[in-house]
Amino acid sequence: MKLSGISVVYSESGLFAKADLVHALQDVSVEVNPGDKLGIIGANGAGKSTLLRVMAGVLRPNAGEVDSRGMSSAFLSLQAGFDGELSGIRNIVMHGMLMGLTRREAKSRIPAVVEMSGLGEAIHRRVETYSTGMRGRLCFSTAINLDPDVLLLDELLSVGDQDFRSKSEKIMLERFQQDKAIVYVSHNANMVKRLCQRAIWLEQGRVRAVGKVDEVIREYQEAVAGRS
Amino acid sequence: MILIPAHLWRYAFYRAYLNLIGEASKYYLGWLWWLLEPIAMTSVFFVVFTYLRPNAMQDFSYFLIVGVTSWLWFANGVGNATACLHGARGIVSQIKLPKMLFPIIVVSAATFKQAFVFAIVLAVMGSIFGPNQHWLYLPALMVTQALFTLAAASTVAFLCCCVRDLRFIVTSGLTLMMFCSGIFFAIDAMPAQWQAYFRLNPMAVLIEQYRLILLYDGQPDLFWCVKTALGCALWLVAAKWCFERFDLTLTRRVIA
Repeated sequence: MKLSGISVVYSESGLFAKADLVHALQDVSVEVNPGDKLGIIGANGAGKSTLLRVMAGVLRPNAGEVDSRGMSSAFLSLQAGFDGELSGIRNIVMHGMLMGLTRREAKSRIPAVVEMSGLGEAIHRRVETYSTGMRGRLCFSTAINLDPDVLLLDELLSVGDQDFRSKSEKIMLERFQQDKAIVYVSHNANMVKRLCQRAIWLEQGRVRAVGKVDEVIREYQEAVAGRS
Repeated sequence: MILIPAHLWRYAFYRAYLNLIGEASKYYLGWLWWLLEPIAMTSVFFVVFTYLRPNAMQDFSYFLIVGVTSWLWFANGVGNATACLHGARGIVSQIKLPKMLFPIIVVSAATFKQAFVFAIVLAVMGSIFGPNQHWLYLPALMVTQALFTLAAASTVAFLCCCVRDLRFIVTSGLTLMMFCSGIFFAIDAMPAQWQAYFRLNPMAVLIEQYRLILLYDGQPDLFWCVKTALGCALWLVAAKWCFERFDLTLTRRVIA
């Protein structure tokens, strides 16, 4: 997957309000190859989630080019497209059908998802009754069982408990070794360091640094320490 | 596949079914409201118009129930389409999907509900007036109405996503359209010079045709059905083009 010169502008306007342009991304270029583990760091509003949405094909940029190179992707965040009024089971089936599976195929994935998520009997409860960590588990387990080429994770693993974090990290490192890629957005620099080889630091929609994960995170942390 | 890929049609029907289950589970009387809603609306019109017009036509209650049930199918489909894209923010912001999917889900749910209500209306009409050979034309009317409802719902979903304020106009527009669709009066009873204007509204003609079959054992105007269905099919193609052409704008409106 290759993104070249991506710019995204949001516009908020109303009859009685002045048009407000927000430059979410400005001239961002990044390449993700099979086997890559890329971390994206930056403060709130830096454009991290917007970049993931462009990678997922959800959002078309105002400028620049996206070449997916035929790689399928799954974008996961806590604001996931799960319906709170439905049970975990029904959400798994619906998500599978959205991704092109038949209802029967989607149902056949249920045991693996339930086992991986560790939700047990809670899988039959409405998703709106889940804690943030439980939602994260359901979201991660559903997506990983759909076997995408690129996994785009937005702050997802930081909400689970220690047990689930270790389990999910292990699964990702196992499954995403050779031909699969991970793009991971997080405020947690230590997790980015553990999971990723490369990193991008975004600031106000622009790439501030890109390269080896240790170097980028050191630069980022120095900048943050300098400001406080 | 037509309008959206085949797997998304499967998803739309399943999602519509789940929406109905979810909606029914919220209320104490559950799915009974699917029946109670048209009965309540019919009762209100019946009481109001029987008092206003003591010499109301014979079988006025059956006349009303046919009008109300067909109207509610259209009104539910179009009314719920106003917020369908913003309501799907979670999915729209995570998965690349054709936006036409969302009005299709809304209209599918309204259609499933209508199928249930209409089966009961048919059973009642059949037991009172007896079935007749013209009932065989009912599917043609229902397909025409489904296409018209979907075309109108898609347009409303598109416009209300671009400019949210239009939701209020759609609500008022539906009320105006309800009064112009001949739910509680026969178009034939209107002044002759106005009748052609009333019949520009497809819902007015559809309600007239349903009554013709169910209450008066008459043959519907099949040429009108074919003409209208083809017009709605072209309208849907245009709606699909608009959804694709302005996909970027719609996504941003939903996500922002």
